Amino acid sequence: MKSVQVESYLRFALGLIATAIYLIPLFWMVSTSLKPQTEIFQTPPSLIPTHPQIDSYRSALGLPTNRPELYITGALYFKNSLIIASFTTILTLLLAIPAAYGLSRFDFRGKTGYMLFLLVAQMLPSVLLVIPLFVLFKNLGLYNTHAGVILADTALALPLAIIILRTSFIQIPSVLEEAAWIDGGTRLQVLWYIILPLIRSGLVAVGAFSFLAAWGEFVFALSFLGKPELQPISIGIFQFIGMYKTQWDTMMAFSTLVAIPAVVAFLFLQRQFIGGMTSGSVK
Amino acid sequence: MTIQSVMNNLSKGRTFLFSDKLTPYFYILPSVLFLGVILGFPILFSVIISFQKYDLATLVSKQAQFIGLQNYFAVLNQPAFSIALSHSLKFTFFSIFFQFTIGLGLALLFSKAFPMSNIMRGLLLSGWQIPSVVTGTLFLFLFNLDYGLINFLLTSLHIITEPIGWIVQADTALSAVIIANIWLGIPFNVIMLSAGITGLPEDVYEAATMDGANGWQKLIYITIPLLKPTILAVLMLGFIYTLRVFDVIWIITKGGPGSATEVLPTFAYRLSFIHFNFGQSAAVAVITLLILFSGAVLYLRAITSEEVL
Amino acid sequence: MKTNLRNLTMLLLATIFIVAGCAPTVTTQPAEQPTAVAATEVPATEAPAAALPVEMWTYYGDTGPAAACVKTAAEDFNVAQSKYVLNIRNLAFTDFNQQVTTAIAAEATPDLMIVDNPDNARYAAAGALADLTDKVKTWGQADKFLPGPWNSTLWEGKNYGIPLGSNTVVLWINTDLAKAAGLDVNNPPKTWDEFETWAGKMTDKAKGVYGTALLAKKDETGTFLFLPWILQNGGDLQHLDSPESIAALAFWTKLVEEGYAPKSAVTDGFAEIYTQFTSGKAGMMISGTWNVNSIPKDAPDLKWMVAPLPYTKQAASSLGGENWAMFAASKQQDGAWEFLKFVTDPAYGTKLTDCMGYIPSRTDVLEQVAAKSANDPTMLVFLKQMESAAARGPLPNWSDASAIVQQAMQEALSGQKTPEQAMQDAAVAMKSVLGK
Repeated sequence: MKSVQVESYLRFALGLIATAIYLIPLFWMVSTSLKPQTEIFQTPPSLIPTHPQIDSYRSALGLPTNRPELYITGALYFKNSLIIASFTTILTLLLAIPAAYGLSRFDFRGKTGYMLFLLVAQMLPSVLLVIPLFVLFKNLGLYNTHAGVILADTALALPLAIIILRTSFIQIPSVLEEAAWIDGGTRLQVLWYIILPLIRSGLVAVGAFSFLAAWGEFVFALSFLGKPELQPISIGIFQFIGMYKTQWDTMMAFSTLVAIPAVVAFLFLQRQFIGGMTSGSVK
Repeated sequence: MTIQSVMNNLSKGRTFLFSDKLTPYFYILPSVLFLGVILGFPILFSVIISFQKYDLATLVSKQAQFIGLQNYFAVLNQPAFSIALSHSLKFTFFSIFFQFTIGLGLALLFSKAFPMSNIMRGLLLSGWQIPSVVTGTLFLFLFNLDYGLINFLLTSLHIITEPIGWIVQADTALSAVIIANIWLGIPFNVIMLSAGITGLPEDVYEAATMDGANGWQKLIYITIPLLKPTILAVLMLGFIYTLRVFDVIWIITKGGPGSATEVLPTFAYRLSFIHFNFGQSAAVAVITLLILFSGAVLYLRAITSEEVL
Repeated sequence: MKTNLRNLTMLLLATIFIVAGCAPTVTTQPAEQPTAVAATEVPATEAPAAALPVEMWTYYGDTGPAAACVKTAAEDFNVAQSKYVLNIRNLAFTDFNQQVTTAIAAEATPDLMIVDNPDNARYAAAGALADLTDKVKTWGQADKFLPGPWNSTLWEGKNYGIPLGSNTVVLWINTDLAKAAGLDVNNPPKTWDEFETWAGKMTDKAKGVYGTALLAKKDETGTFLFLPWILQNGGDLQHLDSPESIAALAFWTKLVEEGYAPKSAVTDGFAEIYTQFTSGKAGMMISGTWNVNSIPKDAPDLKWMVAPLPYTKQAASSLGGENWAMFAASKQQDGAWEFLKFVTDPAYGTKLTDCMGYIPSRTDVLEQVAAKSANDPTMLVFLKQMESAAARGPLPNWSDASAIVQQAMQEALSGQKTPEQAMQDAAVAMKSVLGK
């Protein structure tokens, strides 16, 4: 119908404007990465670099340039970030699924207390948690291991994961489970084979949240990882910030390189956890 | 734990022989242990040292002296504390207000498919994928008085005549970091609210359309009430996450100029790592916790009255 | 449906394993890294025993000459002897305190660190540093060091550090811009008034050029830059509310208000003013001696000169520079000490300080520099300015005093308070800090 088309185009226009405004910082990041240092601070600012250079990207990738002072190990940082973020995601899911399930299906003493604890657990900024956690991990022999950072990042992501998954579980009516039990499945079997696939969008959302949280986390990574060969990308960025001098363009180039796979991955993933769009539903 | 209930359990194929009373605890046990150790311990540590004289020398000697509420009094008496508190509340309120309304608007916008809507929504989530150091630095550039893109765009579009000081002026600095934080918070709000919206039942809307309701009425009388659990969750979590924001503010202004953007987390950081007074810093952390705690209690009351489960 | 989730998980796990397997495990960094690996895992083929690792942290970040210079010093040390091998970790300046404090708490400190000279006393007073007094006595070289830097290593009469080198801030002038503004580059500004005139003439609003870059950032570097101006006018830290002290802040505020210096001064650090100066956006900058080696590389076409800081009543600048400090918990104190002796020895001479653009802290090494630079106008200016470089502290709670100065500076420059009000409030706050 025509009014549906008009509405569609209106939405498109609004969406375009909103997205364009939102992307300004990212646009600036890419633009800065291509500008020579002198142009970065030019007044008035140039939107498109007038003298684009890709030295910054070469530097960020560890290719030879005439900027000898940087020690880049881009692939290594990427690998470390991937390890930390992936294991954090897996551990978070492993711990969150049973917890969320328990909170959604049962009523028990201490339930409110536990939920309160979940909220309280997220209230302290990481910087203030560092010292006690460092002491704890050092005593457990986890200093200079990825495991320490993974455990800390999981602890950061877990409360939110439980809260989200709990809501997902609640939306699955228990009659579904009960029917499956009558058919002879154990609670755990039913959970794994039937319920989990139904809350796929929640699982993907939690996976994405946790992955990103660990990907960008740097306070714990900085404190718990002394050896350069263990450090993730979030620490690598600091390489460009010197005491007397900062390589702005290379920093932006590095960030762009780091952001690209994440943005692309999200473009594909986001449909999963927002549950897809129902064309034609009137909301 | 009667024979009857055991027989019931077995016949339903449940593997646990214990009564239903203990089952939930098995499910939550792993996460309770995990969080209790890794997050509970630091919180406990902070609470304890907030009652002790804890500075750099204490850190070395590990011998702390109990001084009761002195840290709290010292902190509450500092004018810097009430400044930080009021900034924190302003920062949180305005951040959440705009993040939420913009997020809701966007979620509603994308609730119906239109050309390229998937790509656009994906791009709107990109704020998360950039390390906070970079985001901070980007906004530092964007807000610059002379070469910042924001002033350039605003003056070119004739929205303002004079470039705004943003982060170098005490009266606009807080607004600047709020804007940066809104930008960071939009992905979270869009995702949560979109997920909530897709879970809404269609038949209610169809009935409303048949009754002649327009879009605006549907929004106010149907969407928002039905979304209440999601909205409450988003607001509560937003409150917690925003009150603890540290990275972005620290990188852009370090709490300055002067104390114009000092918030509780930056104040606590300053006490810890510039003044090396860990006891007072812990006191600030505990005070922050108490504020958030009261919010959390209110939230839990609100949602448990809603749910039937 | 469920297969999608499974597939995603499989894909994720597969990616991890593939990347973990393929990507190189060890970085390719200059010499010292492979030596370290060899030393700790396999006994070195030449030496009979494995070299003992000594670890040092610096706050130079990984960018710029300072980081590269200390790494070279470490390499030279590792080559010169085979008993110890020195590894350096270059942390960012902004996180350094946090990292060190956390390490102290968890007893995971390195053996050595570089510490900003005013902070030496704080760590010493807290008991975190090793007492070097006996080692220094045996070494017998204490009297060769300049009093300013040496004093910063002392606490209650004992030694807790060895000066690495000093630096100070001077006035850097873009001679092309100065000449274009009709200024005589053979007569750089010597008083505040002249400085103001120069800044005014070199400011070109239309082109977005400021007369001078100014650093008023809210951290130690802000105090570092601003404190000399208080001293130059005859004020001091104990009397921040004296007319002389207030006038210094009023002068800076005027420069910003007139538009001769950018308003972004309150967020600008050394990196920002360096970029402003080298890209021609600022005709002058007040910055340190360390730029001398970077500018030719980053802006080879820039024509510049240095001049002593202008003053009203007395010449003054800040004494910058770092000290080497050893942690009390270090297990390699002998090895660490060997490095300290090596790098401050006249035989090693000026290699490190030249590389970093610092001034040596030892008189005998300084003489080498003076002799070499008889014809180097830049170095002569540096050396002259060093004579009036004032140390910050020594005060164990220096960072508290510094924070008060930063606060006043920021409040005035951002228009929150008048310079009078800002300094008066600062003086009140300072009483409780200095009174201790």
